[in-house]
Amino acid sequence: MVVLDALHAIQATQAADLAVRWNCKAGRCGSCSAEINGRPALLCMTRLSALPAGETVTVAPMQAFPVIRDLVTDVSLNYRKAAQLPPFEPGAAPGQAPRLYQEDVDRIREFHNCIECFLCQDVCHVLRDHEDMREAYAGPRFFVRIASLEMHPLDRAERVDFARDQAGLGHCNVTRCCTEVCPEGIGITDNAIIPLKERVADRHHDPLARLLGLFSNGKRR
Amino acid sequence: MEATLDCDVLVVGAGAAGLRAAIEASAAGARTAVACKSLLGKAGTVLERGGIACASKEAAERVAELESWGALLERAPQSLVAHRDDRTGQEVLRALQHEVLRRGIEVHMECAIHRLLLDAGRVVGAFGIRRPSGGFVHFRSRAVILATGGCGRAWRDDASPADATGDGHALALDAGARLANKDSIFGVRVDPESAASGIPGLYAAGDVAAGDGLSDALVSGRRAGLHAARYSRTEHGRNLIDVGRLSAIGRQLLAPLERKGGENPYAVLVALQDARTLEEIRILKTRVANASAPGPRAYNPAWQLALELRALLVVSEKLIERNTSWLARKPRSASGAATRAAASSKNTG
Repeated sequence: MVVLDALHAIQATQAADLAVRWNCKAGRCGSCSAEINGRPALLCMTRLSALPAGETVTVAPMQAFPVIRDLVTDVSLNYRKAAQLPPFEPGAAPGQAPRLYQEDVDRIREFHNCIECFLCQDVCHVLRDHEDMREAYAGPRFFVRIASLEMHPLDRAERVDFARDQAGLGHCNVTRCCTEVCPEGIGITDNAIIPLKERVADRHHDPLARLLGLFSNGKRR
Repeated sequence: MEATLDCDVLVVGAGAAGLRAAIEASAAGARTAVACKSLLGKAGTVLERGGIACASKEAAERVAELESWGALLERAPQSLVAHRDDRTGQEVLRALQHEVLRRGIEVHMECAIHRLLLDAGRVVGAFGIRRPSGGFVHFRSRAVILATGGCGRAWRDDASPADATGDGHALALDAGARLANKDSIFGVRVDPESAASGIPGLYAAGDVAAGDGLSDALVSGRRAGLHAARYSRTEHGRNLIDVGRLSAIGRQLLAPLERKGGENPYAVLVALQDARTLEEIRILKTRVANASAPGPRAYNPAWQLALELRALLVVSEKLIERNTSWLARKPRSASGAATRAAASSKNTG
């Protein structure tokens, strides 16, 4: 039995209108994000048997987002952020099957596992504790998205300066909380955020690269 | 009415079929809107683990365009199946979601469509509820594409997503559409070329149209989008639905909230999932009609379920009437794995 089952039992017997967002109940859709005993987690993937026996289980809505009702929060901020990212810009002609090398695919595959549960956004202290950063800072989910595009072999759009200037990458101080709560086990910090930070540093703070950059343009890998 | 929204093509549902339909309708020049019960990217498509069969040129084109939209798909040499691990559905949905975003197509998330609006036999819009506020929305559209997925919650299927309450099946039947004439597959009958239901202005694609799997969802979704957009150009008059009719629908939808002391909709759902005879369905009609939902309009799952029960009842009645071969395997209460096996065998049996 998972925590979502317990909430469904409460709906069926005690509070029919208890608001909880869910759809697949299989850890694939990322709808039922909440905080269980203070820890961001999916309601459908947290077994009651894994929680301390004999103690009250506390279920709260995600704290980083405004509550709509009960456990349901307004996550529209994330959809606005998604719309602000420059879209995938493939070099190959549309409709033509592009050819990718396995090693390129392997590098970004884990980023594509993201189920957009927004638990990483919820736990990130930059978003959670700083109201004024909500619009300016993209947050871990979107650093993953930027990294997946930046490392996509066909993508031509400028991502590194976007990460620094528009997405607020520099405000992340690598506490790894996002990686800890990711239900997909994506290496958000090590594989997405740090490599992006390194690319920013290479471009803007490496004197030799800067000099060489004068003689090239476009995207660098 | 919280909002009245105009569009040429309204797509109901945001899984693979719905989003592919929306992309095509928009590309064909139609002002397109999508309404879906969940958040964008959460549709039942995420549960599709298997690959995309590319047995036809058209299916192969659908896969190639997904890749050009950023999907990572793999194919074994000489294989006609594209996949990504056991997450093909998620990969497809995410690529479509990003393409919808790139094209600036309007998406109304957590907006449940409960009625189609007809004028002189043509579908001219839809009536829905925005879940977060509980407010009513009137879509004035020239065409509607149903891409609502399956109806797995009509029986006890733990593997079925919450959204799969057969809304599209019920909406189509309400409008006068027919069911597919196949014993083994349950869904709305459409012309396979145009995805047209036979009711002017009404199209259906994917699982709701007796489809099966990702390949069909993409192919039928594109066709539905194209033909609905073409149809919408031939419909010049914007139909005005009588205000009285809209308020009558509003009163019907509010009834479970205003009814005091009725039965808990969750209890009715359990009984409905166990029903096997038309006699049981007859009794359930009264129970569904008398279910009541406590609480406010805003994000009220009891209210939503009370309204979904109407669709589930329509679907269950048709299933029992048709006595389809897979109904016999519909388990009363079984493990998710067993129900899933039964549900998937409907497509092969």
